[in-house]
Amino acid sequence: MNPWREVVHRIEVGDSVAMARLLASLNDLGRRAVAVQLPGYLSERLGQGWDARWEVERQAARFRMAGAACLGGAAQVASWLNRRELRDVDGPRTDAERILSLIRNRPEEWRKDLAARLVERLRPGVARWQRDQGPPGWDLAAGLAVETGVDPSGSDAFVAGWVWRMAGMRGSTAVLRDDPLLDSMVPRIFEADGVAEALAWDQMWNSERTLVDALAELAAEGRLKRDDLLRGCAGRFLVGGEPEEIAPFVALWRALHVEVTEVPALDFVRLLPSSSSAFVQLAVEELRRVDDAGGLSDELFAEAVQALAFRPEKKHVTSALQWIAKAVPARTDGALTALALVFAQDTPALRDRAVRLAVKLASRPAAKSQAVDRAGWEAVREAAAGLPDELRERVAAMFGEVEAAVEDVPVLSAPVVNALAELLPPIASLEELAHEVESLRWPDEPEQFERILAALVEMAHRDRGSLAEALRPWFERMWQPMVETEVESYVHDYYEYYTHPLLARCVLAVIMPSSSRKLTAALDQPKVSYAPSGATELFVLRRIREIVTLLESGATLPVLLATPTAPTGHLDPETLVARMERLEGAEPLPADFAQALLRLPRRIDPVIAERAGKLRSEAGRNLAAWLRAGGLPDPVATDRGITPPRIGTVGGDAAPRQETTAPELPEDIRRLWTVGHMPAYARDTMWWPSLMPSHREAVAAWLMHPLRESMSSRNGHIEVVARLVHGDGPVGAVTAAAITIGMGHRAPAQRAAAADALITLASRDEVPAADFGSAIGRLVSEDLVKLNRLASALEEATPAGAHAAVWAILAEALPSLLPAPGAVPRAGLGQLLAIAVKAAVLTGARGDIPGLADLAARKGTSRVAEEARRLHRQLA
Amino acid sequence: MTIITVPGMADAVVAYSYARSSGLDLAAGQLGLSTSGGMTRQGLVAHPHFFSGLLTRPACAASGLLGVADVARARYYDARPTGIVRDPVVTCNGDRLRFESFSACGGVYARLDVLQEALDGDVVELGTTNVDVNNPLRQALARVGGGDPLHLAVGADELVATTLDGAVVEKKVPLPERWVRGFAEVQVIASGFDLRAELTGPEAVRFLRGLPKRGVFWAVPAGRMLRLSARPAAGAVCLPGPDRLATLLPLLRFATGLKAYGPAVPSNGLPVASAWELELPGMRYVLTLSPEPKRGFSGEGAVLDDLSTDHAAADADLVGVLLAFEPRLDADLLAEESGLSRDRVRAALTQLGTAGRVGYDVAEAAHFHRELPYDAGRVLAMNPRLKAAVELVARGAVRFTGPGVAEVGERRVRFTADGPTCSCPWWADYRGTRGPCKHVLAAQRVRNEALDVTEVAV
Repeated sequence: MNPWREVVHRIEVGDSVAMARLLASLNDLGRRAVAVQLPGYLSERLGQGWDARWEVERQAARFRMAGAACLGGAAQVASWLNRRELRDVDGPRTDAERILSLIRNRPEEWRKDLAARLVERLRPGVARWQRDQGPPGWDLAAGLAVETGVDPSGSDAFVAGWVWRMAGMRGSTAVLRDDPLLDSMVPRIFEADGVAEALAWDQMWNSERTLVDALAELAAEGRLKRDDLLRGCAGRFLVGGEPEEIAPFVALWRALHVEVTEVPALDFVRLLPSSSSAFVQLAVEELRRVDDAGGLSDELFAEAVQALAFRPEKKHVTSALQWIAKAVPARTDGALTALALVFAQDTPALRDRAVRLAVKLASRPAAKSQAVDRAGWEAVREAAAGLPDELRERVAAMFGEVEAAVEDVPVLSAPVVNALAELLPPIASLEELAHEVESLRWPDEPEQFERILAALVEMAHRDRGSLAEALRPWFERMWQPMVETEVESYVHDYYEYYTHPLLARCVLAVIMPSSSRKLTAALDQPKVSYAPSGATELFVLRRIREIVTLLESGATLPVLLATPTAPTGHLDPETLVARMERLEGAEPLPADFAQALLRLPRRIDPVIAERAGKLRSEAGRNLAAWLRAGGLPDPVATDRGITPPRIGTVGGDAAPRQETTAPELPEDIRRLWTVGHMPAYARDTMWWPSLMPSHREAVAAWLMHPLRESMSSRNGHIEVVARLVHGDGPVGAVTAAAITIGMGHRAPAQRAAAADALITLASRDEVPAADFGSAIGRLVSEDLVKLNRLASALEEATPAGAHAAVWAILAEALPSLLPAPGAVPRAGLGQLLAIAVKAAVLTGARGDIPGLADLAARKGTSRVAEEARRLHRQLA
Repeated sequence: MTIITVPGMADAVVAYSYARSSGLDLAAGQLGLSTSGGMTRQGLVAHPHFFSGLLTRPACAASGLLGVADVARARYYDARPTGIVRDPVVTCNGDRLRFESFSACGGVYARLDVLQEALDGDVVELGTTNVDVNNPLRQALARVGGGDPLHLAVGADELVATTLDGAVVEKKVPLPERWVRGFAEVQVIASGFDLRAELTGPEAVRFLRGLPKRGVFWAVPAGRMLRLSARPAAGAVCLPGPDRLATLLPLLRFATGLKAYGPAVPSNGLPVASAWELELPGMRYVLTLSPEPKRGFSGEGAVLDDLSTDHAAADADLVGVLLAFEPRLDADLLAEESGLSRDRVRAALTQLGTAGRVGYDVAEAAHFHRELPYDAGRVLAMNPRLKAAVELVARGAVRFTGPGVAEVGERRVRFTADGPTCSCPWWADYRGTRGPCKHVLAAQRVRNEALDVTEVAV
């Protein structure tokens, strides 16, 4: 056999050992023959489609060997090995050894050239799952660099790869000590991009011994220069970066047991304002050591404590206070400037401590003479203006007169409401419909579904053939097995109980009605598996399924009735009557009709009822009767509390709003108005506000269970609450409870949505303050809602124009939240009282809150007592 | 600076060439920022020298420069290192120095304006170029503190040349077309912004330190504060990916206020771009964010309406002559001097903006002259959507079937009172928020030509 045929044979079927033997046995002529044909052969294989490409990737090891052994120039070999299809190989170390031995006889210059090229071509940013291997090609590049003496340290990707490899050694000092690349790599680990990630991984997963430990040990035994490591760390701290990038170097610094004289004090001070918290912790410890040894100037001390006092982390502010407490008189001025910064803190404990310290420092005769009338002194007086009375007076007694800051002149603003996005115009063309169907978003956007359903029904009525053609490309991808084989592969709950596949079934019914009927029949067989049980969810599904049935039957309707005409989900009654007229006496789909009724506004022009009186269908007569009756009756919603067993009940037996005879309530609506024991599955909550836009309490009642279940998850459904309040109909105990749960949610974004809901209600003057009061009282007493979270939500709403509502709510809620005489106040009460003060000031509220006077009379400087006194004064 | 285009490859490469590396000697109080080739009033200069003098607020300026440098290397939606950093751009407008950078992800634009109050020295030349930023310089900038003034040279002066010894620096960095286009287009997008909210220093600290990291939010003015909401309200400023404001945090200790700018809230509620400006003593640091963290500025198409008129290019040439590295371009004055109408001056400024020849300063609500040291004009000529539209017109694919209705290939374009619409999928996805699609542009061109003809006939 000729050499080329043999090589091809080995690539395709052989094993790598045999391949290596074969390549080693080739002479120059043989190698050249392979080199000429190999690239073309690869292109040809790659041109045969995806399967062939995968096949090539599986054979990559042998392709690489053949190329490395036979191709001529180093550049050519480098490109070959870096080809995307050949780059990734199983067992990169074995691969590297095999290739190294195949090219060992090449000229030294050639090998050096190849080494440099392989190093330079390494790219960072490997996929997460293979990053501990280093970048593809690292082993070969490293092996060749070591053999040829080429320095690979210029490549960040190479250095990062080395660190990943060493991190895999579980901190083995022995391996590290003898690693041929150790000396060229170490200076670079402080600079190269991507190293920190490997070190952080090492810190996290090799808890017993890390690479950092090993490096410190080698420094201790003199194998590495300790000074290099120290300077490297210090430089890395200056460059900065994300906390997790800095943390490994903080660990290394600690492991090196640094002498006081080795600490770069100036650098560390300068890094205090902007560095990551972990480094600041280290820096404070080191600077304190330097200071204790007398190595820190007064100027640097001042700079350091001022930087710490401005940090967002309480623990660093505390460090500043601890450090200042030890300040000698000469440092009083700088210390006072720092303390003045702490006066602005919200945390009373820190603020009080800063005031006490300031007074103590200044009262030392030696200090006073140093500091009086200097910058720090003035800064304290200036910052004291914003302190509570008692603290301010203490400062004034020491520092001279302090004028109380003019209470912020309240800025009254009208509520700024987050309006719902406007509805998009109906889908106008087949191509637009096809595009919308293709780009169905996840999770559901009910508006998008409504537009698609409306267009499907209308366009099927107008020209079913063209509709089928327009949807066919998507259909064939989605339902390919259906097109080719049989329905069995689709007989699964998924196609029955989820909105997206149900919509796909509508398309199936348009294009292949008989297959669709078969699938429907198969899915209708009794099943033991899970079926949703909540009436809201079933109703959403039923609406789509009745369209499937319609399309399967071959019949069409000119129009769907329930498609909303407003972003809330409301349906303009005149539009509804017009749509009914287009049916020309035909009966509408039942769920569609029920949905249309539910979407009517609460006030309806009698003229429209008259026009509806001319409708001939049974549904038309019903509609006319409902319109004459002034719309549907209101369900009665009672919040039964969140504690089991019942979550909220909406009775369907409510009296109609007007004293007229109305038709019997459709079954669908009766079910929607009965929230039973069974919790609704929370998947489709985004649909619910537009199911019943005129009955907000009913929607809120359905939401109670999902809300309760997701109080600590990221999606708390609060966005749905913020949506539902834009609708119409009474709001009371249930809506108040829903919003309160939102205000107590763990996630700030969810609390912000609850604040949105409250602001929306406030802007319409619809806040049920008493209901909020009792909901808050109950949820807090059950430990479901924490006061600090509630306070943060109310704090957002207060300046946004909801101040009167916030005050009204708190006036109702506070009596149950204030502590009994002698009892310990709840955590977060001080914060809540501070909001109450703000809201009361903005509203100009007066009056009495039971229990407030007792609390205000308590002694002490706790925040609760302080805010209670302010509120008491405000209300007096 | 040289742009190298490799035939057959999509991306050009930019080659920076500095006579020495930038350096900072803290002991000597010398900061030397080296310049690569750039445009000045005298034309192209290899290493222009713009400014020599004192920085009177060195700690704040150093922090701001670090912020600009950090944005230049950031890729906000994917933190993995790219190994690619494009050097910041400096412009000397006479009364101020502006340092600009554009993130590697193409979604964040940063600018530090060092105003006259913070400068004490001589303007040597007006113009724009790149400045070298290297790791030792970053480390040294992090060590700047205290109040001692620092001598700054942008471009080489004698003082710096004798103190700092840096070797020649040559770097080549890929220059993707969409990156350059984004850098230029962000100016045009910002010119549609208005001031929406203003916070004092302490409020700015509270607001910025309390931001969540991820998500698209709307900052709604509430009294003197801003509150975050998931959905827009009137007067709100979009805040997409709050973690992209991270470079503001180290500057907070100097901040005297924060201003937020944005366009009017769109009725469809889709996220939009916004600008966040930190007021500093004698300086301003502004970040402009793209509508979504994963979406760059390029392709926003805000500019295409103005570009599709025939006289835009000629008008831009005319206005371009009048710029003279002015810090504030007065549109009225430009109109007077050029003899063009206000609308045509505006369109010309848009054209110049996309060519990288003017920037937009939201604080001044005015354009300023700067010549981006990338050949943005070349990139502009290749704006894919505009190019596609021209091709459609050339193919005769535009057919008006009625007043205001055109068939463009397989798509249908309608001109309505609320603006044009198209039946293409791209339009359905973005509902016009990313500018006109190629079909609308093509139909507009044909319609404009027809209108021009009518005008002539009359």
